[in-house]
Parts: sequence; C-alpha cells; structure tokens
Amino acid sequence: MSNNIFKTLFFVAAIMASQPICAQRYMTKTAAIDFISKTPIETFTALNKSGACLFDAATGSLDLIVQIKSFVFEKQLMQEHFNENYLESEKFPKASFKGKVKTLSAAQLAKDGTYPVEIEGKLTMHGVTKDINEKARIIVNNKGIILDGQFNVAPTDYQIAIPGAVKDKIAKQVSIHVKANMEPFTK
Amino acid sequence: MKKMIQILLLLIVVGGSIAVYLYFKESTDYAKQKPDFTLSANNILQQIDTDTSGLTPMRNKLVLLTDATVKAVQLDSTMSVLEISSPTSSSLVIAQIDPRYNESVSSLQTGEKINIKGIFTNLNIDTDLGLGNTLQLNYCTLTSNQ
Repeated sequence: MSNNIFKTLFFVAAIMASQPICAQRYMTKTAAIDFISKTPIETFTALNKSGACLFDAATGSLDLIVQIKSFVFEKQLMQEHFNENYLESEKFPKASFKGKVKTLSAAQLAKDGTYPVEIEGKLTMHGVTKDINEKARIIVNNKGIILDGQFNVAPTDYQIAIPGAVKDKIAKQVSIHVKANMEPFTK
Repeated sequence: MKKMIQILLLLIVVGGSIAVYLYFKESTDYAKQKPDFTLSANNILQQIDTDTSGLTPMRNKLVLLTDATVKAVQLDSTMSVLEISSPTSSSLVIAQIDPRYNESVSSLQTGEKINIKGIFTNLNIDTDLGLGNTLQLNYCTLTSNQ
C-alpha cells in the first residue's frame, strides 16, 4: 500500500518537475543571422548579431525578427547597395520568420543534448512572404537552448533585383546561417 | 588629335582609379571620429522607456554612451556583441562591435562600466514579440571620455 502511494507521489513529482521546462519560453535579442554569397568571381559575407528570437516550447512556435540595417559588411559600397538598392531597408526595415519547430519532443527539451529538428513557417523579406521548410538542430544545455541552422535563399524569390552589371558577382542562392542562443524568458 | 587621345586616356585612368577605390573602400572606421551626440547610458535607456522623441535626431549618427553597464558579452570570432542595460530600465542597448576592434572587448566582464561609441542604427519599439524595446548601435568601439 505505502509502496503504491510512494510510486504515485514520485510520478506526480516527476510530471510537475518536467512541467516548467515544457511550458517555458526562450528568447534572445542577439541571434546571429549571417549570410554568405559565393561566386567564382567574388565571395562576400554580411554579419548581423542582433536578431530577436522567441521560442515557445509548449507550442513549438518560433519567431525571429531581424533589422536589415543591422547587417555589417566589410566594404562600404556593398553595404550601401544592399540597403539602398537590393533590400531597400527604408521601405522594408525588417525580415521575419514566423513558424514552428517540428519533431522536438518535451522529453528532448528536458534533457541536455543535440537534436535534429524541422522548421516550417513563413519567411518575409523585402515585402515578400514565402513558405520555408528547413532542417536545423536544437542544442539543449543548462543555460537554455541553441537554435542552429543553415539554409539557402534565392534573391529572385523575394523580388530582389540584381542589376546586370553585378549579376555574376552575387550568388543565385545565398546561404544564410542562423544561430540563436536563447535563455528562459519568464515575462 | 593626339592631345584628345591623351586627355581621353587620362580620364579613363582617373575614372577607373576612382571606381576601384570606391569598390574596395572599407566601411568607415568610426573609432577615429568625434561623436555627434554624447549622453549617459542611463539617460538614453530612460528615453527609450518613456519618450523616444528626443532620440530622433540621433538616427544614423555617431553616438557616444558614457557610464554604460555591460549586462552581457557575446564573444564571436567574427563580430562580438554587448548588451547594455540598467537595473531601472526594461530597455536594452545592443552594441555590435566593429569587427576590426573585436579583440578590444575580449576581456570585458558583465557589470563593467564602459564608454562605447557607435552608429544609432535602429530603435525597436517592440510590439511584435513582447521582448522589450531595443536600441541597436553598429560599428561600435570602446572609447575614453571625449
């Protein structure tokens, strides 16, 4: 009899202990969203470490917002063209992703480790919204979780017009790397 | 005729040199420039919390924040980031360090007081994610009082 009560109490305690982790939200305001364009003629990168990212473990929803003007380039002319001509950052100041992290279980979130996940949702950039479905990984550790993923984006899909003169210098598929170290968020 | 060709060649060389210079010109090094605005970090955080109208003239200008308390340091081999805040503010300043000066923040500690200069790039009044308001400074460098 007392053995059964002990088992029941242990079971309830285990559920309660796992609850805050499953119901937790994670956030960062310094998510890294870097991109690289590689062609035989030229390779260039742009760095941005100020993305805002929010992940709700209970629902799997993932939001990421990045300010276009915060991309940093090595060459000044590239940064000017990127903001003024290609991404038109005055007109479209943000790029955003709104979607879900799929295939991540509550049990995985409760245990340190690296887990492959699928991310599905809508990417909005330059005023154009497209569905994306990409593979990434989530690293769970004692500080929070890290979302780490890489995917390709075609500028033409987002109506980003590249002038003929520099067409061969900008990749048809630009590689985007996202890394968000998120900590528990209690608000 | 010969003189015309010489002038034309000269124009091509000068034009080409300017184009090459502009193409390879690195982004501006603001560490060597005087700030357009100087104010304490607490002052700017308070303005972000309450009334941002006074910040409008600072957009795209070089701003020096004094007595800024480092809330977090995210070191990265390509570009490090500092978070600046105060206990009395719910807002945050995100400072992206100029990659050329990345090493200068490698030994910074949380809670340390610094003076930091950077381009006022974005002010996000967060209505999307509920994460609080954020000011973003780009091409930041640590500096002494000016």
